[in-house]
Amino acid sequence: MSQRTRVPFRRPVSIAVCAVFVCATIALAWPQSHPPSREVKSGALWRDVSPKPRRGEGGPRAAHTNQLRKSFSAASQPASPAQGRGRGIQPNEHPILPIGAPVPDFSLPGIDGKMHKLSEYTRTKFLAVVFECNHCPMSQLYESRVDRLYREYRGKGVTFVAINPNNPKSIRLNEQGYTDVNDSLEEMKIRAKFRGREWPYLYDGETQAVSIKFGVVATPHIYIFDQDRKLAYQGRIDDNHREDLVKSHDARNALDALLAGRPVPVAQTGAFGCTTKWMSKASGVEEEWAKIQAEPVTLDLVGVDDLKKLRANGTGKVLLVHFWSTGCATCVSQFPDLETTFRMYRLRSFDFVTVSTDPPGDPAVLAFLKKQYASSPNKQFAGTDASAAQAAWGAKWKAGSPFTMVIAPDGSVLYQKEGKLDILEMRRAILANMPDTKAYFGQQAYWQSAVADKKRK
Amino acid sequence: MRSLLPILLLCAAACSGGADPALPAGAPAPDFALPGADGKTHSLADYANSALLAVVFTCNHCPEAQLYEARIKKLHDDYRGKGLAMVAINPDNPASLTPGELGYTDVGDSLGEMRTRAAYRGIDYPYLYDGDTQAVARAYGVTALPHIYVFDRERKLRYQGRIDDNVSGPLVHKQHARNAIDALLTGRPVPVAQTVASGCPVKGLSKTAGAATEAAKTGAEPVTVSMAGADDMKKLRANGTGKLLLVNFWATWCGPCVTEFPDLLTTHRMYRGRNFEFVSVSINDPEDRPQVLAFLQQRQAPGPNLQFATSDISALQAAFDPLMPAAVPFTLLIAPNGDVLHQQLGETDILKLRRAILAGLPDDKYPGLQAYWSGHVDSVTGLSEERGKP
Repeated sequence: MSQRTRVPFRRPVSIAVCAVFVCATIALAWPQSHPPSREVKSGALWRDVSPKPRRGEGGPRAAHTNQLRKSFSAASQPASPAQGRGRGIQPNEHPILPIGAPVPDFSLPGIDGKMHKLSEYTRTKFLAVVFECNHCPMSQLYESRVDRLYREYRGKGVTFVAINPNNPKSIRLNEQGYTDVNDSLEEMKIRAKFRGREWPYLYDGETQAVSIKFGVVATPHIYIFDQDRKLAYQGRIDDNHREDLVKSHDARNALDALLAGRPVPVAQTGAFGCTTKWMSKASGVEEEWAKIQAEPVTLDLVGVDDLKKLRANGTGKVLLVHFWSTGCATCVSQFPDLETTFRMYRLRSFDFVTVSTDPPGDPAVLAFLKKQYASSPNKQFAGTDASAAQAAWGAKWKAGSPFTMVIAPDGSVLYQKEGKLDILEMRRAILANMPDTKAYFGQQAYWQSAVADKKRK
Repeated sequence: MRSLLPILLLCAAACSGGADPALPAGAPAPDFALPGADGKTHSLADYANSALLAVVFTCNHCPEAQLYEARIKKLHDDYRGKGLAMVAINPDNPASLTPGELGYTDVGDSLGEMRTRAAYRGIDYPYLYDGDTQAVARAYGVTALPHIYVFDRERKLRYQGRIDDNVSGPLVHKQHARNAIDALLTGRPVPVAQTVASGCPVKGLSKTAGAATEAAKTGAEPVTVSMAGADDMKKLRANGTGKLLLVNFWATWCGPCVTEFPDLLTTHRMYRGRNFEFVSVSINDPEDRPQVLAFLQQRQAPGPNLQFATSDISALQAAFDPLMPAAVPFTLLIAPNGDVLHQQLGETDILKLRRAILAGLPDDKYPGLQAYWSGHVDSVTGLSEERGKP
């Protein structure tokens, strides 16, 4: 939580510094990535064209035309400067640990507050290291499948360790559309508690040194080590993120083979999911915040009829509505979290509307919204009687308190709260009801089941 | 005289909109106070101590300006020790540029983008921005980019026009700007005091409407998505288009995919007038077709847009290329012969990608630009041969 809310308030570093850094990186990368373009440059374009064409040979214009013709004939050639070399897809910037390699050492903090070292796991026969994270929907989707593997194989001599490779500072708000929290260690603890995770979940986001040694491509990415702690399998958990369509249980097959003393049938597969958020790459977090700051902030007066319409929710989206006023301390303190929520989910089928119940014409309202860079649709009740707004809305809450409601596309209430919000509870209610994932792979179910489990407890 | 005709013709194209009167010979240098790519404000008075002052109007997006960039830099390097101060000014209004006018550039003409270009190309002379009001460009009567003005010790105009007589470095005959500077430094009369600048017209504030029209036109293009099987994937990898092919694998659930997509579309709109094609491939489940189409329609993705025809993602990825990583986004640039010129697993650095595209596109109208984007500054100047000549 604290991690996420802090991010938007970091001052953007100088764009100039950033640009220089990016360009320096490019300049360094260029010769390697395009070595053969030198051939193009030495090209026929300049060298054999006399700078001083003699009279009678057509003069400069003709020479120029010749040159252009040459360049046009060059254009009909394959554009590739690497022509003839058959340059294909290259390995990743951090190469994947090869099969047979010894397990890289690690010493990382876990969600249990302790440091965990590789040496802790010497007694177990086999070791599975799974790279997972909080924010990635694909990682979430595989979470229960990996948990099932853990439960099935823990009695057979397989120890599971999960590692989050991501640095939360490299993840923009608009990449957090499928999560309640970001990828910091504190947030891993929150998620683990919410989802009831039992086994070690370690944080490598601080330096990513372990993830670099493993060459983690994506979350999830599993590495299985044999009794000598040599890599026996790496890649995906199975061949389809839709569990009903899985044909090849690759990780399970590897474990079964190891336990039976047979060779692993397929030792390497492609890890499928969200790419590792390397700190070395420009994340765009600062640029995103600069853009948010530049978004227009508006405030429209609304009457009783507008509120009724808003309550009916004709948007076709999951709609979050928040009643607030400038004089209410709770409203003011929780407002940034609500705007952050908007910035996280707005690329999905989601909208957020704020409704101020301050007296109309109070300049403090727009001033506050501007200070918050609140680019969400903002409304202000045009009447002076706040109870008229409540009557129009069809709900009652204490005057001067904030009131928050999450409304489904059909108008039904998914969540409501008078007073101080539990922002994570609210986000989970939103995530569990996003309609656009229903036909897809079970992200909604991830949040629904957890919400249901919570209620049961 | 023979070389005058093309210049006049160029002027007919370049100067048609220019109503501002040209600065006459001997006129005092119009004052300016403009923000620079270095973050500072520069004014005419800052250069009062220099024996000579050259003011060059140029910009980022214009291919002619790019071809002259190294020559401008060389001019600065050669004469800075002899008392010449040089200031470059970009008069273009960035909002007036349509994506279609950005076919030869990685960035547009805003101050921030000037900073990016200056860093990328190592521009070490002041590069100022006049695009908001264009008042300075009007005062100077700029007709085309690049357009150079050389002022003497008293800051009276002694030469204005082209830097030299040919945009192609090796074909340069007359070093107009150099000749003028040499003459002024040695107290001789300037041989030719005025030529007609040629290159790109200044992008004016009045042209903003053009950007809106192009955006509206883009919006009107029909958006479709075709289901693609293993054979289609193989074909795509082989690139039979005869063009430089950009392929982006994405999914609706993938955060970086969704956020980088508009940048890729802009990139497509920038280069589609050239030998370039962009194909998007959604790896979403076939059942997600409505969501995929809605996403593409909302972002007005002209396509071709493909979507995996079956749920067997790994089989389709292997059909495309056995070496293809499984995660998304994955973006790659394929030459007409099938070579991979650029690839990115995870979010694309859009400038890096654009520069790879520009370096991969063969020279069409402007010989030397491929070399410019391949990072070989020397080959662009042609000056190393030219300069020693009498």
